Amino acid sequence: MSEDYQRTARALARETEMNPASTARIEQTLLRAMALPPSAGGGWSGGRVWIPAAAAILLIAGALFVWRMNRTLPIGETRVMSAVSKPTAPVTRMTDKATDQTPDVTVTAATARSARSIRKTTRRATATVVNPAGFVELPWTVGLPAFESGEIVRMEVPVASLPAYGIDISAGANRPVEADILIGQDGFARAIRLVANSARSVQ
Amino acid sequence: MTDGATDEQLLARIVARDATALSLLFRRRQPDVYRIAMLMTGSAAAAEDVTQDVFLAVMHDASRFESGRASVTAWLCGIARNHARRRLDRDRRIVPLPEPSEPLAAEAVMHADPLREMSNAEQIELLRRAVLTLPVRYREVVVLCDLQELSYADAAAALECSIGTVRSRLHRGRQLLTAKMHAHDGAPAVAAAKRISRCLA
Repeated sequence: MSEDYQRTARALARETEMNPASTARIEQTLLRAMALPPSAGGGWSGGRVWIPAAAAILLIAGALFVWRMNRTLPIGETRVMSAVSKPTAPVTRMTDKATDQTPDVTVTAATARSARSIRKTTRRATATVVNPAGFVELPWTVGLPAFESGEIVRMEVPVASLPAYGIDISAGANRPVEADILIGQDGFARAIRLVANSARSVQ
Repeated sequence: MTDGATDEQLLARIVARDATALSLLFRRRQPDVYRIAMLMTGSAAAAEDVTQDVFLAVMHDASRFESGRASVTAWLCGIARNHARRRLDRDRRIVPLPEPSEPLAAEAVMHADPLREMSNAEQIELLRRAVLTLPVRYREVVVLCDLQELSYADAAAALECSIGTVRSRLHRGRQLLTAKMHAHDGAPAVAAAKRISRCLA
């Protein structure tokens, strides 16, 4: 830089000074502040207020994340619930190893209550039902977490809806049939099994 | 009130709540702090507030000074810069009115070479205004290195950046300053000529 600039800069720095009255006032303010007892250690000083604020924000964000995860319902669940009809079996405790995916499967009162809330269907038909061995996995459960434990709900299912579950039926069948719905640990339906004597139990 | 203690020793005494040490450090270093605050904010009132805030911060946080890292002056300049930037952010919506020019005529007639003194005063005012119109990142480097005359290392410590960054910003800041001052060369020259002619009339 030129000498001119340096000389001007120094002159500017020299003449930039606080007026004496303000200097004295600020010094007095500082001395008064120094005379005050130091604040108790428990408080947050002005520069560190962000620490509890950041902690609170993280806590709220975490709670919101968990809440949203719990509320998420896959499409498959909705479709199963709208297709099945009222439960017909009383609440019984049972253990079922019908498939490789069903350890410690039980039927509980809670499941029965939730099943009762499912919308009823009114279709009736004569029963000519294929009786597959064991449970048939529902087609739309591919994206769900692995099955660990769950419950079985027995209910009437319209025969016409069985092809949607991946079960073949003979032509003309239109009566409700009894079926066991396997519900996973997350409350989502995973598989369906037709009850062996459902043809006799249905009028 | 004279005391041969170094700045570091004064800081150590401030940690121990020694009011005399605070007073000494304030008297010794407030010109530096005020200069930075004034040239960063462009407002005397804001600069006084910043100066007070800086020494209050020193009073509370003197124990955080690390003697091996930078000089006390550089540490104070860094605090002043941070407070000045905070103040600038806070006052961003406030458009300052142009401050009235200093009464140059009365001073000029007292000097042996009034023409030269008048020219110098114009140059200083021109530089002050040019500095205040620089973007903040360049302004703070120019203020610290060219006006406060800190070393690159101290400026880097105050700005919490590398020496290379200080060099490049200073280079760019000086370029901008030169351009601004050349751009204003015409107008102040005319104004100065009018003032000088009035003084000598």
